[in-house]
Amino acid sequence: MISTISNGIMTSFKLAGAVTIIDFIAGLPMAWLLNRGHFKGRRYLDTLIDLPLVVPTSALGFSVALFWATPGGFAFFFNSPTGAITSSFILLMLVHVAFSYPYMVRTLSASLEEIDITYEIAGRTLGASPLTAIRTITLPLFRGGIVSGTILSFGRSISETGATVLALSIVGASQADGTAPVLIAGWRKLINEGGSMAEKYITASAFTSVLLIILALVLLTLVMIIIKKFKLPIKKVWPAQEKMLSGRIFKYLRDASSNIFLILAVLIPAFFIFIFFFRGLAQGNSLAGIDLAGFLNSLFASFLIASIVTVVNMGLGIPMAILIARKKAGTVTQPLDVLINIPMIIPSTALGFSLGLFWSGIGGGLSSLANADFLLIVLAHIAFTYPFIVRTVSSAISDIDISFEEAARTLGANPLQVFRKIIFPLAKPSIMAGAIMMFARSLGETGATLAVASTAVTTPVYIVKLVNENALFEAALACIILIGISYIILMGLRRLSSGK
Amino acid sequence: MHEISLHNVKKRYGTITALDDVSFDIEKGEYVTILGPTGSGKTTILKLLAGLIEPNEGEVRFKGRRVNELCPEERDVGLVFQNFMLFPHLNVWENVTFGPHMRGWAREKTDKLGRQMLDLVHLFNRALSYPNELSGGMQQRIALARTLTPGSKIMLMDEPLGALDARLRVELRYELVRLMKGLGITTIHVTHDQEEAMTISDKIMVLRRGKIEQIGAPMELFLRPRSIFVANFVGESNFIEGIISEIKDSFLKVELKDGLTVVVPSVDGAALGERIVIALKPENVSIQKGVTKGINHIQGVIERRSFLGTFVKYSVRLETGDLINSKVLTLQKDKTLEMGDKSTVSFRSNEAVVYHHPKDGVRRELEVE
Repeated sequence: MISTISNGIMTSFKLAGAVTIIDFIAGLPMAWLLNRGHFKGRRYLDTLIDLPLVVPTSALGFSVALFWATPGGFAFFFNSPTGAITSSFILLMLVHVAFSYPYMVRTLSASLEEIDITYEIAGRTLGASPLTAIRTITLPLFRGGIVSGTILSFGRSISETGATVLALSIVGASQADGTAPVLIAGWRKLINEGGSMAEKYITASAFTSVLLIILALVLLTLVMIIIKKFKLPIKKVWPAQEKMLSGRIFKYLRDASSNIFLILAVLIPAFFIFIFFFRGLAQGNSLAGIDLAGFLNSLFASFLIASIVTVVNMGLGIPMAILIARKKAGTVTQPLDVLINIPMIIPSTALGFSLGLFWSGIGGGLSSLANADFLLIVLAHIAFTYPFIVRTVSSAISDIDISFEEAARTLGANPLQVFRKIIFPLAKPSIMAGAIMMFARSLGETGATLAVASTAVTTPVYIVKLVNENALFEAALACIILIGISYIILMGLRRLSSGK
Repeated sequence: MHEISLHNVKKRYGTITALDDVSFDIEKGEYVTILGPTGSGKTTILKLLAGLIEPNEGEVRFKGRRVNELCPEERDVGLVFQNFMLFPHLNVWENVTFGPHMRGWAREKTDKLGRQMLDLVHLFNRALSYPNELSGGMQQRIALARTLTPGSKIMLMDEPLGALDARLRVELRYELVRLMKGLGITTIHVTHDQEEAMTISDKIMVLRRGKIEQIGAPMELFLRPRSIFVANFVGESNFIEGIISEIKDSFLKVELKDGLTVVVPSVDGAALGERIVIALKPENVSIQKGVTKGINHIQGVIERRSFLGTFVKYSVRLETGDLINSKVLTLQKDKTLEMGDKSTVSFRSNEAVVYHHPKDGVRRELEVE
């Protein structure tokens, strides 16, 4: 048992580490291109980056795994009888990169936008080549963005359960070879089935969760310290070489490879599921055997949970965001600000397991209620999506000049009116962005759902079940419907946020 | 050979023309200010010279050599920013030695230059401070030292004093000239403060709507402004419109609105019956209480009196309906005039400057946008 746990945890951290590094290396030039590039179609590229965010991670994982690990995917071009990727670790890496890459690019590019480009220009007029100016001036100013990008990317990878489970099933690897969240999800099912081993699995899950949380916290703290303390090799400058690397050819190469990466490693795999499905349809796969009622029920449950979670967290998160942004909690503000991040960096499976224990004591507490599972899932989802709204809204509010509030107060507005008439309209785009993120995260989550209630059936869980039963065609259809509906809802929310 | 030249340069941003056929020459060691309202193309000229943008047409030349395509780091031109743009993550010493460092110069040379430039701005004792620990004036001087260390012989400054307090701004402007002249550097200083431009420049270039209105020594611009715009922008002016009723030698007799006539210097191409505009500096308009008669004497009523310190400024509504400003030294307190007093303004003929009437009207010509 111990060796299973340590293997799982090792796999989780190796995977999250590798994924974060790949995301960073591929994401940095892309963030640059998005911010500093001058070309037509930059807005389209911007939208393309966001596109994978509307695909719930389990659907995305399924799609990516189909692309890389089945004969009909990438291997199709080489007439290979097996999938292009047979190693489960590499497959998991590709899956995780596909869903975490947009988070990295978004964070880096948002942070890059805040850095005044005039610093770089000043460097150039003082004799620095473009590359040297970026390396010695912009990158050191950019550490905050690198830290948040790393945290998000790493946190997303180490939490993910649904996509991992699906990828492992497709490549035919044992779930026991998976990451720690996969192990916990598996045990949770066994716990529910009861039996003599149940007690042991509870201990194992708790132990793994604690270990995951502690290790993730320690590792990320270390990363934060290293990035903050680490001085880029600024003391040394290689004028000739760096000038050459700033040249046109290298710039084209860099831009081209970031675009190829986006298309080949993220976009095509993420949407391959459509090809898979329509090819299946053309080959005469029947839709008759599909359990429509079961699927619709799961869909209803998923959207209901995501909607409740979004609404509740808007109510809970916005006041907290104001508190933090306006430093109204005095000396507690700073620690509070750090604490908010915790659900973001600890694995959602561990979080869900812990929450399950807290609210229900497994067998007692809340679970005596009717619909206890549903309530538990909502509570778990509220916990891990909470940071998204607080983070986005608090940073938006701290950007709003406090003089606007002061002006409104002197004109006779009370604090509530100030919020309604001044803060809310100004922060609305960020509030909506936070809501979109929460909604999408809740909709795509598998690990936390399974960890609190193994019998619950949300759509991601339903898809996992279909894949495990090897009903790939039906699973693909379920994914496509889920993608379609989330796309419509997210676009609707986006329109709401841009409208008056 | 001219140190810096712009030759028929045009620069467009989309459909907006920022510079329209601009040419000028600047000689080695000159201190030139570019003066103009917001959006007149001042900063565009600096960016063209620094290599941050390329012209659509025309040539930028340093010492006669075309440099259009040279990128900023190859031009060896210093640029001082309005907000200083000291690198916040580097201390004063690292900021000041950034240029030599980028060129890969030897340690001793870099250290010597850094020391020398920090001494020059009297801030060597702050070498280890970070920019956010310095006052605005100190940051400005560090920014200057940073631009000087690479030894560039051309210095561009984009409103270098704009972010400072009024008093400090006045103090530092002389220090700027002292430093640049002392090092034999050719300087182009962009400003919209005409007093700043007048006090420190060898030459002033007045820009308007992407075109050069006039280039010349400050005194020349003040006394012989070539256009109505310059007359008003470099020290304000009164403008009176009239019609030429007689041309005699180098003087014109001009009939004002109510039939009054004044005598002013002639202008090239003056024709009998032509509409013209007379520009008068308020400093050249005298004012007396009561009614006095004589050439170029006009009666009016004092509408406003403002105390400016050294001067008192009277705004007088003339019989012609025009409003004219007169600036009088405050010392003449013996004959203080009050609002509503009937009084007479007068000026000497050769202190007036005459322009042909602009086709879009005087008001349009004075717009600063």
